[in-house]
Amino acid sequence: MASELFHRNQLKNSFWLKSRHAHSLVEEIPNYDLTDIDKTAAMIVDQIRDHGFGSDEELKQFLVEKLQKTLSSTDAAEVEELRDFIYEMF
Amino acid sequence: MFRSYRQIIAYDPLLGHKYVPNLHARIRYGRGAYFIETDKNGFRNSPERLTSNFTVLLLGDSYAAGDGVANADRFSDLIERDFDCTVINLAVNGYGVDQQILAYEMYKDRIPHDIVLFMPHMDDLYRNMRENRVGKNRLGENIFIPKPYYNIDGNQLVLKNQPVPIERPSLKESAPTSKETRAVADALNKNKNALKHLVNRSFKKHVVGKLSYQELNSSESREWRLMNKLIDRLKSLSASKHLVIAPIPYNYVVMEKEPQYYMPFFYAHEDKRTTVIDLLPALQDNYEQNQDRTYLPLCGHFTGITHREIGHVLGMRLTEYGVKKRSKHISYASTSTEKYVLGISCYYHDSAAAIIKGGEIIAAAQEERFTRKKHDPSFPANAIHYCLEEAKIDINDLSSICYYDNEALSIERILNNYSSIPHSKKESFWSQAEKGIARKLKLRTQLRDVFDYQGQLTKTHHHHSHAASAFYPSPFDKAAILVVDGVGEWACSSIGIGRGNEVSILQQQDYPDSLGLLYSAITYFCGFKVNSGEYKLMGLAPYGQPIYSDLIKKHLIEIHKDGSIKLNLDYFGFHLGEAMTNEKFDELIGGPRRHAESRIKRREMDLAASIQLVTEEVLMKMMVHAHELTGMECCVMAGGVALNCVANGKLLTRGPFKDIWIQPASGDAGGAVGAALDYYYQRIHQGDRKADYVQQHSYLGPSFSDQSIKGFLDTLGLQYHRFNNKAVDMADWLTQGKIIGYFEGRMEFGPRALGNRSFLGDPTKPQIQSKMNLKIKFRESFRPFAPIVAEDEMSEYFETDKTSPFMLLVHPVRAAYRKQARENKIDNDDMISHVNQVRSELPAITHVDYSARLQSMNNVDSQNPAIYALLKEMKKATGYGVLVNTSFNVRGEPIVCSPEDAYQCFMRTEADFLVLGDYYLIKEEQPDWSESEYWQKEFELD
Repeated sequence: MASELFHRNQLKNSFWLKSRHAHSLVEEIPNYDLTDIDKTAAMIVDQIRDHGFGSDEELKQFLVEKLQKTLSSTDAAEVEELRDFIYEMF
Repeated sequence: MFRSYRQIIAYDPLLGHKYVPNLHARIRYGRGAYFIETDKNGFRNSPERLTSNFTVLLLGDSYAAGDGVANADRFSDLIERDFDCTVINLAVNGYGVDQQILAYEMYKDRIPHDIVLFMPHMDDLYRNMRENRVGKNRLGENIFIPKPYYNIDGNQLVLKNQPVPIERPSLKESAPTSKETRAVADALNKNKNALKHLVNRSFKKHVVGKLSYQELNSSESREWRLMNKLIDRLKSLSASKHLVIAPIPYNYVVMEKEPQYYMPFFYAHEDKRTTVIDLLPALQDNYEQNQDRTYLPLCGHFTGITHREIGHVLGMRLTEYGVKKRSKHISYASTSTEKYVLGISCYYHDSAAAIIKGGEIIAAAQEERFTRKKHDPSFPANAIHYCLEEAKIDINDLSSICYYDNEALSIERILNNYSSIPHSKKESFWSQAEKGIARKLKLRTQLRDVFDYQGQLTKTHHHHSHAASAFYPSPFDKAAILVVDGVGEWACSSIGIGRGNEVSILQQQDYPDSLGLLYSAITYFCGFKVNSGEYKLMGLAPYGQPIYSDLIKKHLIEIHKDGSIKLNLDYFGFHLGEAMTNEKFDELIGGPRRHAESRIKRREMDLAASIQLVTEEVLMKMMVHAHELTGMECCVMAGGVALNCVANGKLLTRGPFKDIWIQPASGDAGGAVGAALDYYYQRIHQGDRKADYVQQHSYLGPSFSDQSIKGFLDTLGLQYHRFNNKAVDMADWLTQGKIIGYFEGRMEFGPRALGNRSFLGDPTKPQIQSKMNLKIKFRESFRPFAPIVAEDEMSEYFETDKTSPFMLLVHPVRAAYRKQARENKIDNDDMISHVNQVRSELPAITHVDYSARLQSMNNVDSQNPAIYALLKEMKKATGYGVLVNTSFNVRGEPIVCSPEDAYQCFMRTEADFLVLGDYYLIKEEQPDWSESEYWQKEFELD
């Protein structure tokens, strides 16, 4: 009855899925270079691939396109720090 | 510049101000931080000291007190480790020489000493002339802080302004009066941003440093006449002691090699028991070598390097008095090999930080408590700062920081979602998603920029974090694990197994088939806020009939016998980046959603009852499936749905497991605990068994000492009293129908106030529920209140023998204590008439279905002995060892964290008493409370 929007690998007679990560995978968070969108997208795609998901070039291009816009936001922490600094001086 | 959620400096009637006594605080400074410790007298002296037979009493201001560096890194402490002497530091931030002398006068006979080391800063020439100094209050507003001062009357010093006035007028109220000054101030204010590039060392040195001080070269100036008199007084007070004067020059004099006019005036005081030391040559050499590392960049105080240099110079001069140089420097550096792990959850909702050591949760707190924004999802800078303070470590001492979620998989799910929806919906979907994605990728950058963190940053998986938070702190060595929430990465519900040192997930259900999102969708439809109002829906359920449950199961959710589900997305909008429910959902229910704050009608009550029934059915099936899958006798639970305490009570009494333990911080905040534990057990823990630790309580947040509370009360000049017999007095007030705002010990971690940040009332009083709802919490009157009950009386009043220390289980009131309400069936929209009926001997905590959300309390130190003592007094006074407990906040406000938050909340409500540790305040004695804007607008309604 539901819209079939999402990829599934269901068990028989159940909507439970086998966990992709039976054991927790504690791993390093990459040092994303937020000035290099192409590299950032590639890093994310690599991780997705490592976890067994789809990971083609199309996905990477898609990510690049989206991240170009997304990552242009101002870093709130930097703004806050600067604001505090200025405030103290005046 | 210096930031702490704690009060560091407090009012003192004789000295103007001092540090809060017995303080251990971490002060944020720029991107770094430093620890300060104070002694019982309110000065910066650490409790762990080297002892010697030679004691120096140090007088000074912030330079000698060591603003910007830790106690151990100041010259006063460094001298002790290189020379065989003790240095008692009586210097305080902002002191003039007048205050320094008064401090000496106050303590000279109490602290045996051999030498007085007096270190005036040149700025003190001007401070001495003033009756106040400019400072900031905790809101960051500039204020005048009164101080004692001396005038010269004839040839005599006359002390003024003592006792020091408490009032601290705002600078706004004392704005410049001359037209020219006001014009300059206005121009500066308007051009703050344009001028920001000038705010650097050069600006400070050339503009601030040289504007004044022409008086320095004239001994006849008013400033020097007063300084000389004050030094004469100090010499007189120190009488038989030797006095060493070591003036501290302005920074620009050091950096620019400016002529120092001032030393001759100090040398004029030299005599057989007064020595003057010129620090300038050593400071200038130090600057030559270290340049920008000489002074702290934001405030201009000494860096650790400069403290070392001054310590060396002064220590060598002390040898002239028989003080021996130690054969080697004695280091205070920690030799501890303990490994600490910090867990972080953020960027969704309820961001938090937690720190663990050896598998034990040392501290945990939600960011909302510090920022005062409920469910704050932002980077938890304040919570991290607190965790480090509690552990007494620097951030770069951590073994690792572990994030509770895998950002790549979350992004993958979002992109998968994006690619699956109709083209017309994509733009709105992405506008919702993009901010979340940007934030997730900036965690490392934020840790570096805010904390200068250079260490390891790891991540785990969302449901593994929840699972770890439930299993490792539980009392079980092995257990099934059930995690149910909205969504994390892909997972919406998971079944796993915990055994010894290992947690593994066996099965999961993926987005969008989420029981949590279904519950949130109906929360939204009923006019409550998603990720916040779900517990209101649970509280509303007993008023309704589950007439929609079949409709829900027929159209919205397909439930398999193993508890797995599938949502029919045709009725929802969350997967499209739109509202939780859509028009088709409206048609199904027979009308549009209820608008927030409009009257709750029969439909919402019935919907609440229906989704509660469906939720319980699904959870029970999941639990049976988990039992069959794992073969375990016990189960642990986490995830936001595990906060549904109505369902939990039924799962415990009717479910397949012998015992259940639920992580009290089951929502995303608890993910911080799980992430840290997951890292610990993967990378640090040795052996196959769990650490010998069980989470007995949730008191994992900041505490505030009685001295700190007194400092707060004194600084505000509030009228307060100290308890003689706390439990007896409180029970007396409660039985008079009074409401108490109760603030004690460490703040709770998780969504529930469990007796340390609570409003308390007498449950035998029928009017208490409506009073608490309408006059204390300013919230919907249908919402029930929870009881705290003495563990040894719990089974007497309630149908359970299972303790509930975390208020996570709902159980019925025993029949023997029930009373027949006038009307039990609610078949109209008039909910209020049903709310106010007496249903038991404990009416204020008995819900319309005769249930109660229990918190049991025992008498062991690991729980809450103070509340237990109060329960016993309530037993004597009322016959019932029971209290009404609700969180210490008003609607939309996070639970109070500090004494300041508590006082503000208390004054905004009609609560009668405020208990702050060993002190209490009576509402009638407090000054009028007025706020410029209607304060309730401050908090977004939940």
